[in-house]
Amino acid sequence: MKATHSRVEKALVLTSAIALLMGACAAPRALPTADSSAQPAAPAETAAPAEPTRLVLRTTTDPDNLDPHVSAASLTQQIMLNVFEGLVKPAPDGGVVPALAESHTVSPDGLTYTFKLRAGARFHNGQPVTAADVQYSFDRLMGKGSPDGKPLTASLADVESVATPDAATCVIKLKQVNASFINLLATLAVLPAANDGQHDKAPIGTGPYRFVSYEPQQRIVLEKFADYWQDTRDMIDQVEFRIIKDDQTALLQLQSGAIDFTGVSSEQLPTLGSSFKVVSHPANSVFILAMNHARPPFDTLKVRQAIAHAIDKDAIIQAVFNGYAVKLGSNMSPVMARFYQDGLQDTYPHNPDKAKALLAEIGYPNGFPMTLSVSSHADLYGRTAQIVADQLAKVGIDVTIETVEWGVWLERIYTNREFDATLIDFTGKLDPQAVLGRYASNFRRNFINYNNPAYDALMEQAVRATDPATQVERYKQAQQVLAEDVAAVFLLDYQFNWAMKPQVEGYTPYPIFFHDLSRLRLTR
Amino acid sequence: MDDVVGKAQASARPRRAVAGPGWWLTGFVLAITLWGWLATPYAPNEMNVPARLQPPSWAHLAGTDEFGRDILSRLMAGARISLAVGAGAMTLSVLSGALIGMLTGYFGGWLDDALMRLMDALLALPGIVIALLIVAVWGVGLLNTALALGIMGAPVIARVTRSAFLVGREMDYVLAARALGASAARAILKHILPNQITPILVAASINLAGAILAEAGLSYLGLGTQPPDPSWGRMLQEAQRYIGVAWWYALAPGLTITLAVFAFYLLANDIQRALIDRHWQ
Repeated sequence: MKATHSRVEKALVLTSAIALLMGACAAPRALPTADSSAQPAAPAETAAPAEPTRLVLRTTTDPDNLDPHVSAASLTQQIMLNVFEGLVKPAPDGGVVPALAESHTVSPDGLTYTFKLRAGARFHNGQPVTAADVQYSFDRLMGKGSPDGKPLTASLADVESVATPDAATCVIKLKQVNASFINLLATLAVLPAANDGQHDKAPIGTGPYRFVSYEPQQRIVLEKFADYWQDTRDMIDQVEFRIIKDDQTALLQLQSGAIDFTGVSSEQLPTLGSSFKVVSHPANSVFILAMNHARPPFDTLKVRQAIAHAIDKDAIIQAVFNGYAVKLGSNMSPVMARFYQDGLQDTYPHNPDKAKALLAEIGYPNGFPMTLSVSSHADLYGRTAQIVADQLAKVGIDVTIETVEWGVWLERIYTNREFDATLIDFTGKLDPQAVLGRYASNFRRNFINYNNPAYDALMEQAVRATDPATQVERYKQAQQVLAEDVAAVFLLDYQFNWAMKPQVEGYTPYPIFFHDLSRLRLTR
Repeated sequence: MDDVVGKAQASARPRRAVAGPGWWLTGFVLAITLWGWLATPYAPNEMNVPARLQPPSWAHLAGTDEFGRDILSRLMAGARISLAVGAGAMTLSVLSGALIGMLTGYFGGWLDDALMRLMDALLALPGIVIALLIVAVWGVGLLNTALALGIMGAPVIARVTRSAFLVGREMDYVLAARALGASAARAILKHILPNQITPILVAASINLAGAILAEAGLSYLGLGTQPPDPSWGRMLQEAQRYIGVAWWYALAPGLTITLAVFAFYLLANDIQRALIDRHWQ
């Protein structure tokens, strides 16, 4: 649904902070009459006309745009991935599975992708999905026919051409091999050409749920799409995403039964009580202590190593996240299973004496002063900053914490790169290239000024690799380089905790922001 | 007979002791503040993560926070900043607001129109905009924090004072004083102010509490205290997320702020009574 990749800079952080929250409400389940025969439930109930099943989930904020090609917010994607689909869609394991294309083949040179479009897929307005709609969607994403010709996403930068030679085929040719291309397609929605100009007001997609209404600061309502290309009989009929900004309010509403599903912070978990089900999973975030490599003394490897040795990640996880986080060693969460290089967490273990020795060795026996600038838009940063400052003080580094407003952070630190050090969390992506590409010297938002030609070479080899094994190997080596270089101090991946009524079954975590409604069920 | 009447009057207006409860309580708060300046049971920013979120005990009388820091020590250390910013902002609000309120309420006319429109404009501006303006012009710092909060609080004091003076200037004793040739300054300061001061003092007490809390709100602009340094408002803010698991964490700064504001209110009351007593002698 959305072009998150294209707007890396915006989507990047934002979401993690807001973190959490969703809610679902479990109405007593009543079987639709149509499936009463298939489901031998209590006969008395199946005889009566079924009451539609309903679920109320909490979300924290208004969607940034209902048009999936324009929206950049992960929290919007979390909802709207239920409404829109691309040729492929995300899978819980981080890969992709067929969606509007029932299969695809890649040419031996890795440059031509041929998709066989699914017969029988329909838009929510009842119209069949045609090759023309697919063509329209890619043209729109690539900016063809728009007044300024600007693409709506950077994900298709490597695309040479998109063609639909016949009603059941879509052929995409690339300019150069891009091993992560297929992953990028998972969040690029196919939209009906007939709805042009209305995508942000009356969105029409092909997903298992259709958009019903949106009331700003109140709710987004979705409804099961009966003509979906997969079996929808067991899915919940109506789903409401209620917009509740405050965590404590949401928790109270869950406990009072007003909502059925919400994200809860780790501090709230103990107060939840035993009458709710909780699903916790790593967020696929990467929370880092970023240092500006263009500013002395952070340009010196031994200084960065000393800082890494001074930081006690376990204490941070305990104090700030109540233990609900996993320790990282490089810029990738274990959630990225296939690509994740394990064992890097202990590249520079917590060891204040070693840190002091390293500092003395390079002429800072008494440490040095530095400023840690953190955004105030989520208290996660300020709280982590305090404990980081405390740990660095123990090796003689005198940290001044500077709190800045989020707009200032984006402008001064992220864009103009005027800072010593900062704390930031990168939110999850499906594509390892998008996760690790931040440290490429030519990446536009390489705001820490990391520059290592060996790293750039590994990343280039990975994305141009036609052999998946080679690609995985290069990404793993790249993680090792980041860890050994202390490109940043890679702290942790925090967890999301979703609390729901016990009747809600099938909640499936994804490595990206996505509440997959099609897998949810209500039991009695 | 005369004697009896005289005694009755005297007992209706007994002379107040110099040190009323307000003086004692305020003295207590200031003493704790001074103590916290010189020494605290633990270093206020010292972390001890294994001992986090511990309920009050003999080792930690007010418990510990999420980093295992001693809450009592942080309250004592934060008193200086919270009281300095709170009292500074309140003084500024009261001096400027009361002056404007006295002038507009007493004289009325174009002065009233001009100054009160200015106050309305200030009221309409969200406080945060004023704070941003001050940061942009003078930069960050404790003094500027007090300045920003002081300006934010002035319009309310001005409104309260003005309405008190609108009533006061029509009182017979004021009209009599004016008729006897008392100057405007004498009428305002000697006759109206002592009799109309109660609502102003109440507004000032509320202003003090507001400033102590608002200071925490400003730190996200980089204007208030910066972490890890404690202030009462910040502590209360940080405690909110733990309210379900660590009741003492929010209770301690909450009670402390209440105590300080109550002390100030009682003190103001004592002062007012002392003024009235002196006036009647």
